[in-house]
Amino acid sequence: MEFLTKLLENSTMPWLSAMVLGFMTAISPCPLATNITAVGFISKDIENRNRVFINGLLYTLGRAFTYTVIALVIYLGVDQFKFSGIFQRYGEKFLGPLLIIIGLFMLDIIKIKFPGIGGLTSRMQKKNRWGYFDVILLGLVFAMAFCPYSGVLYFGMLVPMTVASASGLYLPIVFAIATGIPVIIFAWIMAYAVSSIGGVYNKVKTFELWFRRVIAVLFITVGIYYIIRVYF
Amino acid sequence: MRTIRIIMALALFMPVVACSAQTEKKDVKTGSSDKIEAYYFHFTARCMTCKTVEAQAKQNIETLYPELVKQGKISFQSVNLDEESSKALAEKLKIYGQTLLVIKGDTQIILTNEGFMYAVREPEKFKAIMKEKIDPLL
Repeated sequence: MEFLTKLLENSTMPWLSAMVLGFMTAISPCPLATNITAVGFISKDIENRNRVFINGLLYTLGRAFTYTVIALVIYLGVDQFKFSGIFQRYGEKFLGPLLIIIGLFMLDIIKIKFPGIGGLTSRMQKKNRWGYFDVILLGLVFAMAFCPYSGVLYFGMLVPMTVASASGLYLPIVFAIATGIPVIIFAWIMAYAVSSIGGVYNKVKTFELWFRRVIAVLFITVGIYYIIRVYF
Repeated sequence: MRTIRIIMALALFMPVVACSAQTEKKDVKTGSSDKIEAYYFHFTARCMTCKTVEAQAKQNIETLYPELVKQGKISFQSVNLDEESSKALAEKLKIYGQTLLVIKGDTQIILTNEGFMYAVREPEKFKAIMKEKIDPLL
């Protein structure tokens, strides 16, 4: 952390500052909880290492999108302080319940039929494409969950740098990549470890089913953690 | 998975909902204009760094200007933005998120970034910055 602070202090290159801010966000204790859930979610296709890697990139893409859009909205003239206040105020509050609900759905404890959204067959066919979409969506949503600390790093330091000129609008993307890199690395290490074990026992499919359940429980646990943090 | 997708998509619209749920403005008076007031605005959920920034800021003011604190010419106050009672003040000062703020009359100095950069690792540097920024207000 000290090293990163020093680097940030002496950096004259905006892209380097954005990257350092991203790393600081990724390793600070509070976003770590969402990162752990993200690692789990990204590794859900654990039998396929490449897929896990692509998931990681897509998750980062989702984050980049959110960070860029927020910066763009501020660049276009929305009151920066008011706008950032909304995220700082509600970001963590909606995250806890959301994680729990996603977890319960992943465990198939809650089932709701939404009418008019394709039958089972078409869903099976589209499964792969939709699977990618889920990961992007997760990145979009998780990026919005600003902790008190990451909120200051993003809104207090990155956004002012970004909106200073139109040429700075690439900075949120650099920032997002830096926040995503630790997640990608951990997910990939896990997939690598599992696939080497799985090859021996040839039980990857059973493992995967259980792995998904573990992820679901992880979502619920982290969700409860956030609820306790925010509401009690 | 489809349901999870819908839930996540709905979550994306949360800021829009929150946006329209803003409260109307009220008028409040802060102290007289020759008084220096430092505020630390925060929400109920807080992080380690945030608490350190607040504690350091408070301590710095007390050690840098002990006489003025005694005379009531400089004050430090921690304000929880999640509490009803803070709304009027936050609206007046146009503070919506976590902020370390020093005001005197119409002059507002925001020290949030400096606090987050240095309060934990280099408290002395943070103290020096606070002194540098507050001294001209005296």
